[in-house]
Amino acid sequence: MLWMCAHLPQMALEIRLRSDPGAGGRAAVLVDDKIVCRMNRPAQEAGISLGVSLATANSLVAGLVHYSRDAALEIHRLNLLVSAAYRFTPRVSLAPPDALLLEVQGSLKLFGGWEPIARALKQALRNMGHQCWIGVAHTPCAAEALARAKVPTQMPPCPDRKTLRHVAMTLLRDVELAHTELSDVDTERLFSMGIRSLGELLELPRHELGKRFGKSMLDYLARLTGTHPDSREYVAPEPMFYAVAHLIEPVQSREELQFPMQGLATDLSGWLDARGCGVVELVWGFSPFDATEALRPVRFAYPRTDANALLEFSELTLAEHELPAEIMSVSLRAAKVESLFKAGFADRNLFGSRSSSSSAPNDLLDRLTARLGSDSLQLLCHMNDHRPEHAWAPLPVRALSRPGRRNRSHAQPSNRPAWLLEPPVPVKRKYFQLLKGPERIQSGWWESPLERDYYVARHRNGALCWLFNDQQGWFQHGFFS
Amino acid sequence: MSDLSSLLEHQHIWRARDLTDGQLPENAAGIPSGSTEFDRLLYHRGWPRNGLVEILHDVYGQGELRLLTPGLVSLHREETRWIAWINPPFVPYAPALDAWGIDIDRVLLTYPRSHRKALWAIENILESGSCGAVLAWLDEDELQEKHLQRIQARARDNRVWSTFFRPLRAVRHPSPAELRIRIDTAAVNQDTLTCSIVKRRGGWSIPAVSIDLPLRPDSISRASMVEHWLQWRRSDRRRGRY
Repeated sequence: MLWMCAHLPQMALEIRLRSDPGAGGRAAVLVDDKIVCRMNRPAQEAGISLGVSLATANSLVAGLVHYSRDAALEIHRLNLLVSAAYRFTPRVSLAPPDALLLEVQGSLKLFGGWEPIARALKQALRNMGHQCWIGVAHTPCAAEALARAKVPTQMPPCPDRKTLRHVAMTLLRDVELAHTELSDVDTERLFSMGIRSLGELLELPRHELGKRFGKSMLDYLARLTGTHPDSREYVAPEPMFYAVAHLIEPVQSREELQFPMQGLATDLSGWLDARGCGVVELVWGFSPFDATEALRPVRFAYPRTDANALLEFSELTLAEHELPAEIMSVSLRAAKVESLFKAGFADRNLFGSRSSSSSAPNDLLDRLTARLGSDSLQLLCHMNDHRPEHAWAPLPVRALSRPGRRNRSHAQPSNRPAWLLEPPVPVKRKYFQLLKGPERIQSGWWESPLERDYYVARHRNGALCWLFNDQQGWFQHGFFS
Repeated sequence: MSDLSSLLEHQHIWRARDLTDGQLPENAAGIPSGSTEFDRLLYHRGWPRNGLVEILHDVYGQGELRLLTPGLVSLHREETRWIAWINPPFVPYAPALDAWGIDIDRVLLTYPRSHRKALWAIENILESGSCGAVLAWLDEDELQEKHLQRIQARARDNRVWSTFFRPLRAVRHPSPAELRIRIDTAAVNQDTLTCSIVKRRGGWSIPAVSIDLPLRPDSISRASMVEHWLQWRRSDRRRGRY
């Protein structure tokens, strides 16, 4: 078993910053019960340290941005990040509040060692807006302690059990007790006894430790070193993407909305990437202060993954719609997702060139759909039916992504008009001179029986028309243009 | 002055000589219109590949689409780009287009709800590079010369054959179009079309041009019928009927 832990130390603050357009570049802190628990670089440079009170921090920096901690938000975020880790191994578990654990033994061969996995995982999390530290060890507890302590890992690419254990135990020696799962009280007591690192703690006789500190510490040390099994619950990524960006202050202009929307689109893109999927329909939700959420669906002609494209076409659609005046939160939900490979829309084909199997102008179709609405675009389809009005069908643009939309028909008579009038228009017979006909069309007894004699006729003004005569009189059904 | 020869090579400059001695400017062959006599009248010896064409007519059903069809078909055969129809007045009937040889899988119908949106859509279509031809029916009351100029420029830069269908009264207004063809109401025969070239690049206008436009694409259908029949016989033979 090779455990990898991705620790995201700043996650709690990062999720708040990414939904606040006003915080860019300013000193920001996250407070838990009025005590600073996370801060960004500008805050650090201003001299704020962890554990000071909010009042002290405020006195140090004018215009300090602060957020209060929201555990539910963090858990939701962590669940969303599972999708980024899930592509490396199905054994992903959460280590709240801010770490993910991956058991990657089975994936080492595929990726060529733990390092490529760590690198790709880091990149995936960075794409979703987080920086992370990776720890690798033989037990989940050890991996987590190493990641939290930011110990650089030196390990062969595919270590065997013995090497893995040996290296991990060596690295653990220097880890300070503050980075472990031991309670603050125990850490304090050990500190006053002169024991600061795990190496020193592990050298103490267990029996006496148990007598002084209780069973829980022994249990932790056993799980840490691997003498006791440590079973973890594996989680699967959420089946559907849903994310909300809560805005600190109500947003009134569309420009300001850009920022949270960009963040959500990036998250969705990362989520889709991890699943090998593209989104065909997504729904933006804009919640005003005191009314229900306004939902704005955006549809695409084919599955898309690129965050910029998602944003561009969404903005074209949104430009056509009214948005609530004061928006408090923006949500994004993937309503319909399709596998890229099943649909044959994988970005690159086997030979590394962009696949050109469909020459469909997808970008154009999406741009037009976004601005004009999906009901303003149509494709044509030729149906195998004898009745003139059933021999064609309009197709929505979305049908393009469905393979096998072609419904080829044969043996259609060739003297059909280029323009069809839908529905047929009643006309006066005396204006027309019949040129050819009749052609009897009689069909459709199973739904709307049809019995018509069709003629090619010329109108007085010179137009060549397609007329028919049935029991209800004369009708024009088309123009020979 | 030394640059006179390079000036003459500029694509916007033509000499009357070009037209009379039948020499084409280099790599400027147009899209064959299906009628050699008609091709001979056009500057590019066919429909312009990049530029605006106007078809002026008041009455539908005079052959205004059949005039373009051979060009559209050969465009579809040459390349993979689509044909976009903006605001067609009626339903383009798929069986008829199919019978003529237009690939209906590469036909896009667009119905923008306003003139502004229609112009926006045309501009996007022209710039996307994924459509080889555009057929548009726009609101004549709102169509201004500057719109046409813009579209003509975009069509030229992006190599798209753009055709606008406009009413006859538009003849009175100047237009930046490369080619303007008026369909004459008076002389309509079933299989020929009489039109006047109101404006063309590199030449004077020509009244009363008659073009053969068979009502039914018989040559195509006969060939395909023979093919069908052969196919049918082969499949029957496989079933052991013969």
